[in-house]
Amino acid sequence: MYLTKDEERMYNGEHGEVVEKAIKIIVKVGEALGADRLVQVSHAHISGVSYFNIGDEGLELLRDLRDKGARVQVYTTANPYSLAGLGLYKEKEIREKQLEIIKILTDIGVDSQSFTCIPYRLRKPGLGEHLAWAESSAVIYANSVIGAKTNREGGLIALMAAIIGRTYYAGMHLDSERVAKIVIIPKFEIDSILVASLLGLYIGRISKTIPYIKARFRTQSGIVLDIMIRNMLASIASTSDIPLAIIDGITPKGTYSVEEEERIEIDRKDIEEHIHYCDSDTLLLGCPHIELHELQYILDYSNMRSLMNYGVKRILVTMPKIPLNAEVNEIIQKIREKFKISVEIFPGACAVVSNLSMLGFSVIATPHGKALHYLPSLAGVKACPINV
Amino acid sequence: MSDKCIEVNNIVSFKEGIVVGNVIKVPEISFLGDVDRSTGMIISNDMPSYRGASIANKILVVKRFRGSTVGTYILYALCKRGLAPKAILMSRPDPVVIGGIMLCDIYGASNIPEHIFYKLSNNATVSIHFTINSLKICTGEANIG
Repeated sequence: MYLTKDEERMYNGEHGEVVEKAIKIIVKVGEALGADRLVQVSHAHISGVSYFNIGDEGLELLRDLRDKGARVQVYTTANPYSLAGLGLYKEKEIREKQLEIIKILTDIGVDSQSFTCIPYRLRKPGLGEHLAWAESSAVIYANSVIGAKTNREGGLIALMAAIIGRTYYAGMHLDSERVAKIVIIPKFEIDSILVASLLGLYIGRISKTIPYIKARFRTQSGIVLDIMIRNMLASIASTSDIPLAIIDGITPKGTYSVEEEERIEIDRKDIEEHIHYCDSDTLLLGCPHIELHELQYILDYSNMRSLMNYGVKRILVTMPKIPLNAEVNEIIQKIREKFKISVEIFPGACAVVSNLSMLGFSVIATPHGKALHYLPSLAGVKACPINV
Repeated sequence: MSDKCIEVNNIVSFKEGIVVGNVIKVPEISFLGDVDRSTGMIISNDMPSYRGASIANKILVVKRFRGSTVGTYILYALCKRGLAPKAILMSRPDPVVIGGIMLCDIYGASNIPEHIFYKLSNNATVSIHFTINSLKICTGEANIG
């Protein structure tokens, strides 16, 4: 692989042990994936922040790296932490270890205001910008909606890329790889977050390669449109390893090409085939995270009476670390008084990467495809699809 | 005894040197969920014929890895406990596993042609000589030349 003079110095250990290790990992991964050089990135995003996911070994590795002087070279954000980061578990050890992971990451130089799975809202990448992002739902959004360029890095690879400010030049960084070969045509309108999610889960299951999706979204609101797209993409990324899905009319032109080899039409009944509706008194919103104005819109326009009739008593909301404003507080209070539903906010956290059965939950209702897919295996609870 | 050796070129190896060990070959595996991080044993229900087999100190030969990016940490955990494979050979490159191999500083190689997978038999004792972009696998009494 060709390395610049600066990169040679990193490789030879002139910038210390951690930088040397980091560049050697990136170079080897790159060589295995056919890269002939590295590319500078402007923003790295790290996953693997939940103590429940990375365990003592992950914590130990992060601690080793920090103690050896690891420091990010570019703007770096991190995924949300588990609910233990907000002190929710009675086990002191779990809370302390989650807090230590957060502390180590900020010591290394991660933006302490990040801890979100929608880093593109903290800093929107430019068209064609090279990134090193982990978190599959953010990767697919950056490639497909923004037209930025990032592979689906693992949590550790993204951290190594942050430490050297570069990643391997292969995969989604190359225009020649951003080619859709399968055209997907849903024969129905996408009119809710749930339908967008179920469609995404289905597309991920049937696509072996980058899809070109000719979908019709029905909504009056730009806010809802973005949430629907975000959920369709996050769902595709849950049931596949696809880093890019071209959406007709959304994905910026010039960032992809289409070489149709296969065309698939999808009926509404296809996406509901393996779906089991069930009941829960707890609704989860914010997977991927929703921002404050999006929460406000959802709470304002959702039919709280039908949620109450469905049996919902609590709404858990995971979102970026943004303080609530008076307006949203007022809405939350109204919902509590009028419908006996409590809205609970969990900033910087993710419910899916938290052990929810330890917190006493057994069933969670959610409109989010990514949560429907991962809640049973990662959080240990049953997941019920619900429309909001 | 050179007929018992196979040379494989145009691969990417992660460390140069020679390693000797017993082969365990698995078509597809994930470090998260399929392998017990405290014992190094395969615990997946998806592959009953491997259940209970250990990857610790073996030559792990895999066509492809799948699953979560947390796999790096599991491999790192196995290393810390002395339960990692001695070497990992994979056909399809997997950044998650390559990262773990590099952090652990164990032997390994990627982009191994799939036909090599079929040439190796389970439990066979092999010695492998890794150079930057090739490797030589010898079985039985064969010496590395």
